[in-house]
Parts: sequence; structure tokens; C-alpha cells
Amino acid sequence: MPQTRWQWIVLTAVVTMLGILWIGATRVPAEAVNPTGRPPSPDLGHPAPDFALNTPDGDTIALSDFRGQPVVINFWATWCPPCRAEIPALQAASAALEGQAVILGVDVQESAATVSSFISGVELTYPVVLDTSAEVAKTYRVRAFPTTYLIDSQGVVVEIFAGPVTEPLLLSRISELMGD
Amino acid sequence: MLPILQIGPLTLRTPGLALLGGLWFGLELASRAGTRRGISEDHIYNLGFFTLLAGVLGARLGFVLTHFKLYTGITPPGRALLSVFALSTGTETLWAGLLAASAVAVYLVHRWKLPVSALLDSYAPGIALFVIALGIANLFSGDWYGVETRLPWAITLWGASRHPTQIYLALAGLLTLGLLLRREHRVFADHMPGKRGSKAKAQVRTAQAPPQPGVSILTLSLMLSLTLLLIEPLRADSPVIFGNIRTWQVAALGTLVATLLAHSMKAPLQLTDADQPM
Repeated sequence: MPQTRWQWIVLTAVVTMLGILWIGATRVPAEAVNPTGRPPSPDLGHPAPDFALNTPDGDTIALSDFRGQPVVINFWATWCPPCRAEIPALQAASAALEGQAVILGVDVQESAATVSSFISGVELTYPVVLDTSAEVAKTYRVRAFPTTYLIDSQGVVVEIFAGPVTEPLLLSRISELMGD
Repeated sequence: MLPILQIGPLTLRTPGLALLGGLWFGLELASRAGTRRGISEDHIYNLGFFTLLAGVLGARLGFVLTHFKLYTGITPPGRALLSVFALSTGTETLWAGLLAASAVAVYLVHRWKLPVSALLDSYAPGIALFVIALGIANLFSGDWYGVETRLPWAITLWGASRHPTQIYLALAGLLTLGLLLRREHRVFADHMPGKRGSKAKAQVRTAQAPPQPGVSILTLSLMLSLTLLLIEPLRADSPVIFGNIRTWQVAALGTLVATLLAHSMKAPLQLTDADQPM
């Protein structure tokens, strides 16, 4: 152990130099900073797995339809109180972001009639699709409702929220994605 | 990974529970260390609580102020207010939280006239325990995940075998806690539970090695800095600055250098005859 002040200062200088070299040597590889080229996976930095599901009206919507703009995928169900509580925030964010980003609700394992009736009741205007077999929820490893994925305009997963989201949270994240 | 535990109608967020447990046990450990240094339990608990509260509120207020337009756009205003106080995470600004917590801590320490070095030493074991809880919380939530590896102790997370960086963090916290508690035992043996029989021996030991204020917190800084410098390269989700430099490594090196400089300030300019080894 150093005993005098100067010995400590020399040690500090050596540690600083070694530390800078270590940080430089262990910096994030360039290919890891740029996530393009990774396999699709519901993980941060990976391209979001594509899916195509029907709306309660029978139209088909695919995630890839929205490539070029940020997408918020919200896994939910009508019986889930926290999901119902966050719907006003999602609806408001959808209205505020019209034409710039998409909110996509994925209802899991419920009938078209149940979801249609709920959508009319709360005057929900953003697109909702039905994952009746829960295959997409399984692919996205959804463990609890609501779970929300934020996908950037290149289709890469950039954030995952377990639990309800708020309007400022969504708007701030999407603004950051759009470089605002 | 087990972010949510569903017990009937009750939804428990396991990361939050782990952090809460770490906080509670950490404060308990800090209060015991504080008592040994002549600082009251109430001061330790209250300072910890108000600093944390200021940090949380400051972080949220910082986010609201830096994203004020988002909140003014919400209608009706009642819902904007609910968003400000929403329990969900993600709308916090780290620097604002740190600033608010530091300001409140400095104010309270000054107001209650607490000895700074002894106070920081008291919190050191508690902070080490909280680091263990942080590792466990990250393991539950799947955050702070490692790069892919084929090592036998790899864990499967986010669809791949990965370095269990969260467990590395918890183990580093455990090692640090062990070092700090060992020092507490050595220096304050007469105040430790179950050690009362060896009071005379402890007094001799204490006389030989008087408690040096600031050593525990410097040990903690040193250990945590080294931990971050070494574990960060194994993380797959490190935040970066300047393109691809890991932010926490830079912070850790800064802390390490500050810690070493603080040690240097305690050392004499030159050795006297009394300092020379026999």
C-alpha cells in the first residue's frame, strides 16, 4: 500500500491511465451499437417479430404495414383493470401522434364480439387486432397484462414496459425516436 | 426472469419488492453502524428516507419540467395531474433526482450537525446490501442483461444463453458487504451482537487500530467502481456516450480516481520515524 501522499498520487495517475485504456478496449462493438442485422426477437435491439392478425371487423393488419414510423404494440384484454385504466392515455397519445406514429392494440384470447363491444363503449379509435390463440403474445413472451413494446421506425424493439404506461411516457419516448 | 408475481387478484412487481427489501434492510444495517458511531437511529432512518423521497420526487419533477409541453397537452387537466403522480416508472430524469437528493441530504446533514465521514461510513454497509438487492431486482426484471456466452454458469434470458451479469453484481455487493462487515467487527467488536464476552480484547484491538472515519465509504467506492469497470463489458445493454463508450465505466473511473485522491489527502506528505516499519 502507498504510504505517502505522492505515492498515492502516482498510484492514482497509473490507475487513471489503465482505466482509460480498459474503457477504450472494452467499448461496445460497433455492430452491437447498431442493431441492424440481428435476428427477429422480442428483445431490446432486435427487429420486432412480424405478425398479421385480424381486427374485430375481419380486416387483416400486419406489423410490417407500419414500417417507417414508430409503433407502440400494447398487449391487453378487456377483463384486465390496469389495461382499461391506461386506455385513455393510449387513445390520447394516438390522437396526438396521428400520422407520425401508430398505437396498435393486441387483444389476447377474447372474441371479436367482446372486443367490438368494448371498443364502441370507450370510443377507442386506434387499431386493435385479435390474438385469439395467444400465439403472438407467446412469441412476444408476454407474461402479464398490460405489456407494451415500443418499436422504432426501422422495426427494432427499443423499449418494453411491463405494466400501465402514461401519455407523457409514450409521447416523450416517441418524440425521442423521431429526433424531436 | 419473473417481473410480476400474480397471487390471486394481487399483482406483485418482484423487482420493486426486491428493491424495497434492499432499502429496508440497508437502512437497518446503516442504523446499526450509525449507532456504533454515536449517530442516532432516527437520524440515519430519516436522512435515508427524506433523501430517497427527494430523489424520487426530484427525478419525476425533472422529467415533468423538461417535458412540460407533453403535460400541458393532456386533457382534462386532472388526467395530466394523475400522469405526474403515476406510480409507473419511465418518466424520471436521473440527474434531477440526484441533484434533489444531494441538496436535501446536504441540507439535513448541516441542519442536524451530523459528522459527515462517520455518517457516510454508517451508510456504506447498507449501500452494499442495496447493491445485492439491485442485482436481484435486475434478475427479476430481465434488465442489465449480459452478452451471449457458452460458459457453464450462463443463464437463459431474452432467448439466449447469457452472462448472469445481475448475479455478478449481486455477488460483488456481497463481497463488498463482507469486507465492510469484517471491518465493523474488527473496529467495533465490543458493540457487535454476540461479542460482548470479548470486550477487553476488543478494547485492545480498538486501541491498536482506532476507527478512521471515511475508510468504509472509501472502501465501498473503490469496490463499486472496480465492479462496474469489470462487469460493464459483459453487459449487452450498456448505455453509451460518445458513440460506443460505456457510460457507467466512465462514471466508475471518475469515482475510482476521486476515491484514490481522497485516500491521498489522508496520507502524510512524508513518512516520519514513527511511520517507518520496525
